[in-house]
Amino acid sequence: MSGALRVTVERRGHLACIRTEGYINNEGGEEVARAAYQLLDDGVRHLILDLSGSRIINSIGISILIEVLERLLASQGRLVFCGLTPTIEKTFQIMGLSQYATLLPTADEAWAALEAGG
Amino acid sequence: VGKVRVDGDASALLELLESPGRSKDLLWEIKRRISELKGRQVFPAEEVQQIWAIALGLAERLLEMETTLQKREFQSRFRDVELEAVSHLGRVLASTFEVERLMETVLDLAVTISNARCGALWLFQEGKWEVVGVVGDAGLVVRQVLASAQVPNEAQLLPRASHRLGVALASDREVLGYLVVGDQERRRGVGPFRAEDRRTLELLANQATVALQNSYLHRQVVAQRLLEREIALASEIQRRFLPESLPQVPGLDIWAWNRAARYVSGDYFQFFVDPHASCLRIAIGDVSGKGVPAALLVSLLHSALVLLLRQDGFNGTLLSQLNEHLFSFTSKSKFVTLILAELDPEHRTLTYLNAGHPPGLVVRADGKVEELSAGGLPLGLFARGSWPMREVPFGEGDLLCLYSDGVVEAIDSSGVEYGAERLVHLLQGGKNVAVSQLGPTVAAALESFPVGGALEDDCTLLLVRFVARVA
Repeated sequence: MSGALRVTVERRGHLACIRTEGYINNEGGEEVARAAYQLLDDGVRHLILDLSGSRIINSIGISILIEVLERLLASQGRLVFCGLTPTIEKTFQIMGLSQYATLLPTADEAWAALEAGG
Repeated sequence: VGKVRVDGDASALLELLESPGRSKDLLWEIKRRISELKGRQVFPAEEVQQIWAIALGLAERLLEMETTLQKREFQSRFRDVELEAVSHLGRVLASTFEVERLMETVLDLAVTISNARCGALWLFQEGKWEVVGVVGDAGLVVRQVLASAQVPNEAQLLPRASHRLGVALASDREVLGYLVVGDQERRRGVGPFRAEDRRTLELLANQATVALQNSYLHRQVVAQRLLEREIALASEIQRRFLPESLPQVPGLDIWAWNRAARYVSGDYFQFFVDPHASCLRIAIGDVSGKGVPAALLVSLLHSALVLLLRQDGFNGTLLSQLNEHLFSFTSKSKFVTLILAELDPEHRTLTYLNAGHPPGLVVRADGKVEELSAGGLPLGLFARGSWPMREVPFGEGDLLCLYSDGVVEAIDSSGVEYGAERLVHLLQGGKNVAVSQLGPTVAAALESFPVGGALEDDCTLLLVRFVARVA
């Protein structure tokens, strides 16, 4: 696993997907948050976080993702997580993220869910 | 308008508002004062200002408390995540012997639980340190190797970190590896690790050590099983090069005994009878080494010998040709000792060639013993050599004994060799005994010779007596 987290963004209208590759720690989490806030400021309403390229996440990374989630909820937006390893999925369930965000297996399913739900 | 009590001790209230650790006292005080205001209709402007100040302070304090509660809930939930992660590690360790997967799981867990920015896991294998996993920017090139028997220092193991925490993966007897994490993350920047992080890391390292030991043990068992299968196969192949039964040649009484010291013997013998059963050809040899390599050399020897005998018959150049063949196709350290003998009952002759094998013995009908001493060097050592062919008489009652060195070199517990003399003595004593009885007597004497131990070398013993004149 390389040093810095890599982030790629795909936008479809008011929907967008951020795909991560690498360790979601403080620096990595901040990178994700920067990309997310930029998209929200540009008019994106709902967001997909595709973590299929990330094997591990630490507590600071989680707290940053929770902040992103809070920001989306405050603006009536939805957050969908996909591509989670079983360990990260379990972590999100324990941390309570799954109560406020949707967890889906793949990015395709995440796009479909948001496009159908608006 | 009654006198406002808030006036009198406003400073006490303000002091409570500014004391974050006294939230409970503040809330009790506010409750008491609001209770006193119950039923009042009129509030002077100054008092309203004070009530506003109290309300603002209260809101701020509630926000702080909410934040604190959130943090505590987060920490509590994350402790559950840690417990789940340790439980997950246990499941992984119990489910696989794959070292790479085991170590990846251990390292991932160590880095995330300790909130480290980077980490590396090194294993000590075959005399050197090799990094088997890296997380974050550790300043390492993956698969880096340190050629040192000593445990490297943590700066070598994780060059880029400012703060490091490392623990050894060690059993009572040896160090198997080293787990090191670097730079504990805070919300802003990084700092050193805490004492409890060391305890967590040690817990992970202990589990990883047990898993590694199990994995190495499993590897050894698998390798051992593979080796046993190979040896069993080689043994099966080699058995095909030994006679399945004793040949029937009119006038000759034949007996043979072969015992492998290991699964696969280095000894070789074979009987060849011509289509008319008029004479018997015998080969007895010993290839260098034991086990599978020896079996492979035996197979090479056997196939070459069969081909040469079929092609050119029993002649004086047989061993030269065989030597040439073995020298070309074996390594320089491999060699073969071999006797080839031909017994012709009709002409009452014994013709032989010897390449470095213990000389055969002929016990004459009158009990005299002759050594078949002519011969040359073992086969396969040099490109060329000389192996003279000799012919001696072989009449009624004469006994030919061919054997491998394991027979006469058996050693008892005090270091005394069995020796050719004991063998000769037993053979002479069996002058009028059929070889089918004499042979087992000799073999039993040999097997009972090493006191309290087993025969260490392969043993082969062949006896052939000329029992009757051929019409």
